[in-house]
Amino acid sequence: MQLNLTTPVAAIAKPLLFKAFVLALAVAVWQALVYYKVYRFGFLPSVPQVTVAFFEYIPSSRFVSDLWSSGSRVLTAWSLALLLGVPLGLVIGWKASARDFLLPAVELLRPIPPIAWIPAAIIFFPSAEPSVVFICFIGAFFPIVLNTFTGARQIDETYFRAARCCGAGEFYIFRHVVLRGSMPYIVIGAAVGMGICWMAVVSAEMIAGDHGLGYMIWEAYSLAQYPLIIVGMFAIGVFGALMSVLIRTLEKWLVPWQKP
Amino acid sequence: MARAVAETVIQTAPKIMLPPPAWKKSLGAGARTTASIVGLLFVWFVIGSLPWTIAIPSPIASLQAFLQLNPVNVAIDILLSCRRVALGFIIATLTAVPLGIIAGYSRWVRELTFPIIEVLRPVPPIAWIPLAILFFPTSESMVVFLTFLGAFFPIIYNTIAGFSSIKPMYLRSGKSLGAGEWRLFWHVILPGMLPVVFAGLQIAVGISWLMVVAGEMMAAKGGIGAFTWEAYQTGRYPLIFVGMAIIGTLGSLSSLLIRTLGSGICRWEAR
Repeated sequence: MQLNLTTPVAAIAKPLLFKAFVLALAVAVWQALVYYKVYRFGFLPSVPQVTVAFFEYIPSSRFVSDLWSSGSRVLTAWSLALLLGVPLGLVIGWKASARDFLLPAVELLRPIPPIAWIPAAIIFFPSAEPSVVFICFIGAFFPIVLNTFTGARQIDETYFRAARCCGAGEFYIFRHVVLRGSMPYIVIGAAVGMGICWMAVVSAEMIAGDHGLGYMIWEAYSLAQYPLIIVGMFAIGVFGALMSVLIRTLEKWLVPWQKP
Repeated sequence: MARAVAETVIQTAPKIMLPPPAWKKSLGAGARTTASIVGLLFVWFVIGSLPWTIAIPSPIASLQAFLQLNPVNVAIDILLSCRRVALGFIIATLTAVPLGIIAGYSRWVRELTFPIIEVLRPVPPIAWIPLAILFFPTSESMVVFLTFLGAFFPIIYNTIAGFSSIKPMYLRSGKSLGAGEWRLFWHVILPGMLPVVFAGLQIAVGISWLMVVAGEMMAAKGGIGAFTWEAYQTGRYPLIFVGMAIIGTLGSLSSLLIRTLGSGICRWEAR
């Protein structure tokens, strides 16, 4: 994101170095606050403690298995949400009759945050695994449906008429006008959905899960291994950011005609 | 002569060209909306009456449970959650919007705050809960911090995006018309960025609700999230669905409030 009023960011000789300096400064401030026990900062883990915990946890096999369980849950739920949400969004965006029947139900369920579904998911599913996946699915589903819907609605009416004039059938229009025209919005929905999915997996694992990164943080809190909490937050942040980078890359490949 | 021709053309024009009357259209849409909601309730009913989902109560049982509740207790829970959301959201707005504007103007502020914001942003606010419990002395301040945290990042992001979305041409034309810094801000920058800021506020209020539910479920006393969680723990399953419905209603009401406020303030924005 480039801001335009003043000189561009690139004018600073070494932006990366400067960023590193700012981050180092922030870490130093944190350490000072903890060291001198300012207000309640004494309760928080210090930088050396976190560093030690980092080098113990990250190379361990436990990290790999936690990452794998959280990651596979997110990917399963997100793929399911795409598989169901994109066709639903396209249909309700395209056909007014389907919209009138389905949109009110979607709008009724959408404001319920994924976290609020956790108790219902626990009593519905026999074990923890499907309920965590379901919570993540709920998190990803609604942004995907609504963005796809918006995408299908914003397609210029002229394109439909042009396709019909050229003799296109319903399926052809669906494939080449509706799907293609909504693609930029589908990608946005997929990215937003991934973010919420990642957040939902952390909360679901904290409350209902038995392993995974979210569970790890909560367990570290319960067992008073406080430095591990920050290591877990760091891991969650890094992998969340990696997933959104992945989607950005996919975006370039899926919607090459869109200028970034 | 010309008039007669025109009238014949109008009379013989195919009926299809005329749109259906408005009342008929809205009646049809209303019927379909009702059908949609009834359909949703029916699906819930079917899921609840499957043999292996004994625990899922039917919509009727949930409604009965709702009617048997003590309205005063529910109102207290609702007001408690609303207060937590409102406090965190307002603090976030009052800090993130000015910070975003200052970062837009000052390169130094931008360079000093952006790397930190960029590093913290991908960490989901939920993952902060254990640290927040450790840090804050009372569960009340902890939950308010969580709602603040959830709202802060979308607001600051949209403030900065709104600021940078203003076309340089507008700034130049403002300047060449003799506007000073203050007038440029008040008449060009602020109106240009506000619609984007309001979009951010709307996302933020949703995340604040999510955070209040998470915080109340995991650590706080009282509030609608705790109500739902207690319903689960004490085995009063119909109340889980009552809680979900209340949370959903409150979330969409606050989103509606922000949207109304936004379109009331940003009158220049064509909708």
